[in-house]
Amino acid sequence: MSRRTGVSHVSGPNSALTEFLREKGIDTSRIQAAHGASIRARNIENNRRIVEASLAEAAAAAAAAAAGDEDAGDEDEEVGESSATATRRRKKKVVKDDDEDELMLDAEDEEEEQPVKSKRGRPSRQAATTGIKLKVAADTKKRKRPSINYVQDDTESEFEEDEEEEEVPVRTTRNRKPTKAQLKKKKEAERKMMEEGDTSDFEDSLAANAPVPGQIAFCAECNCRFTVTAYSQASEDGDGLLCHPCGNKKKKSAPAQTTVRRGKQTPAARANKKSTARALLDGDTSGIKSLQDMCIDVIAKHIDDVETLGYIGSHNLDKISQILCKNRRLNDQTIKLFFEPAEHVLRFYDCSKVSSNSLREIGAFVPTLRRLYLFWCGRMNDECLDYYGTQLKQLESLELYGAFNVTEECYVRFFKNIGSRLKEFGVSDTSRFKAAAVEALVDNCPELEVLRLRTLTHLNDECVRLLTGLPNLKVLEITEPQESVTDGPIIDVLNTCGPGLSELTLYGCRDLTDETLNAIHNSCGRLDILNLGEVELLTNDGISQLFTEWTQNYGLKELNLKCCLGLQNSGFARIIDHSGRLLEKLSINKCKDINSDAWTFLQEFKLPRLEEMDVSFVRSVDDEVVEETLKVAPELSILRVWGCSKLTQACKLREGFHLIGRESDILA
Amino acid sequence: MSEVIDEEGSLTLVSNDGFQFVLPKKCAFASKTIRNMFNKNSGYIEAKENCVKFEEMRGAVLEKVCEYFIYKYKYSGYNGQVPEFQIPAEMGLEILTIADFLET
Repeated sequence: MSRRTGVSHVSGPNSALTEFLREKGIDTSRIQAAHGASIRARNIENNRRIVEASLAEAAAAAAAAAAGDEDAGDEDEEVGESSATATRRRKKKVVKDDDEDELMLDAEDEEEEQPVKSKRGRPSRQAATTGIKLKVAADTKKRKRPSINYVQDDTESEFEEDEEEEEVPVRTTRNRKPTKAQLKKKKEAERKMMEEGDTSDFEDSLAANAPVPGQIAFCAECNCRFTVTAYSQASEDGDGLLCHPCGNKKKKSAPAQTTVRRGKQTPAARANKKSTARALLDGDTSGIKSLQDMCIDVIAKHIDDVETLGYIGSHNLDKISQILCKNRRLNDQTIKLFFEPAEHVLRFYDCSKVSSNSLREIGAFVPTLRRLYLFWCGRMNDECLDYYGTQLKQLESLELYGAFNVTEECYVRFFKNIGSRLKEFGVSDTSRFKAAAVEALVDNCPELEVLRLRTLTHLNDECVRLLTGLPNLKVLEITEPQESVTDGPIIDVLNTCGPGLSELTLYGCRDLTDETLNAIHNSCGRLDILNLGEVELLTNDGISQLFTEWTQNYGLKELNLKCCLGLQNSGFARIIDHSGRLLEKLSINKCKDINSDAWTFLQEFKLPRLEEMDVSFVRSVDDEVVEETLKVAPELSILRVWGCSKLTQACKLREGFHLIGRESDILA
Repeated sequence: MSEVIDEEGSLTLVSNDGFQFVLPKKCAFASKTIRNMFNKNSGYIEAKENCVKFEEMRGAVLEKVCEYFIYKYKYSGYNGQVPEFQIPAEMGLEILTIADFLET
């Protein structure tokens, strides 16, 4: 029964409604008790029903006649409804689910009563005349309305409830069993109302202990006796209800108060909110795009009609390539547009639709190429890579991601061909890049500076140990090896090339421990970027020691400790103390033990260069933490806060700052 | 070299086929290239004459570029729904090269 979404605390198996009620200090047992009583009362009434049926109809007719005028007004703008209705409606929801069986049993009774209840506004006179005729009329009317949108449904049901309430003394249950679809619509409508923060009437009514509709009461103004209905209005001073004539008078004199009650969010506003949220996720930051970007969008859209791109600048070429790849429109035809004879750099971000032959043509048409990046080039074969090795005489940098068809022998041949010219190499997602290929790489390309090995099936200690033969490495990336990579070989590698490393990524090397951190501490003096994401065995002590008196390193620019579950406040403090001045990017995603102490500590420091931070799933992050962090980090422009359930819409943000993943932004 | 740029007043942009477009400087300075031309310390003649002649732009393209300047000036900093700026598909590449030149 979790009809209410957007509750900020997640706690245990409680439903959102329970949570909501507890938050508001509402005791559900009272509601349940009252509700149980009403059910019992109904059952008793049920037995007396048949006897009293005729009496009931007469009474109901009279009451409905009195309410008639009001209802007519209420139907269009659900306004004049008293707080009691809202309460009742909510209570009824609870009842309805439990009582479906009961309702079914009563199905036959329903028909009898239909004339009285359904017909919007003026059922009274009809009911007073002939029951049978009206029943027919009611049925046809019902059939005439096959699809009811929820607003209508809502008003109708309100009306029915109203009537039911009037009849409580005599009648037992609603006569029409709501269909599933209608129930759903109603729930939806109610959920929407609650989301809009329209909970005040709920609280008010509980607090005021309002008389239950159906009771007899005395008017606070004229003292006459009347039956309380859902539409009965509270008197001016608030300690009584008004009878219908007095209520009407009051309503006429003060119409303004009733009109503003449901400020529904317009669909346009909701769409706007959604598109803003989507733009945030896409990293679409600036309000107005540059003219170049707009043109690039246009060109990308009509890429099939373009004959040649001509000279538009390498960066524009790259942007078009990015957009095409994002839309999966890079294919054998469009890729040819990028073959400019004098080009030095080509990057294709999704080559999954490009055949090996077209990829091979890169070697033929762009012989001046120095850097080539091919992502997801799964269709590339041996012949293609061999061709690059012989044809691209200036190639220095090659990254092939997802080329799973290229065999190990081919890699070996390629390294032999290209020799020491190769400065940067990256490979990913293949099970054919094994120790022999690594060995050939190390033997033939001693000048290698950048090496990226991502998600390789057969990357193990043996391969890593071979990397000790690359003394010039500046960037080393070993991401998610599928076989075990342990401390020993990594430490060996760090001992040989550690002093030159500026970037070290050991993302997802799950078997590494604090010993690796020790080696980093001792040898990596020039390190700028350190990525230890998902190295789960690291402890708080290890991380603390890495950043304690790490004098040979001036400070890191980027640090990723995603999923380093051991990290605690003390370790966090050490990091900020050592690298806070230079940090540009920091991720402590899922470091669950970071709490308010760390955030208080942070306030003492300045983070002058911090631009991007990820604190997702750090549960201690709340509005205050974000606001305070903004104060100490003047450059901070992106903060990721997925799963930080304490953050609310009230958090004050500054211009140009992007908070990504806030719950209230996404649940539009 | 320090920047001395007068943001007041208007300037004229002239296309190679003789069309003239007069627009406020504030708008035209969305282009870094034009802005730099009007830096008095760099001594471009355009800064004195308040007029720039683009030999490589035809009127239709320059008109679109001017439209963009106004569009950008009008909607930057606006939080609501910004209407899309329309670029005819056949002009896309041409405007792209010019936008690259104008740094806008």
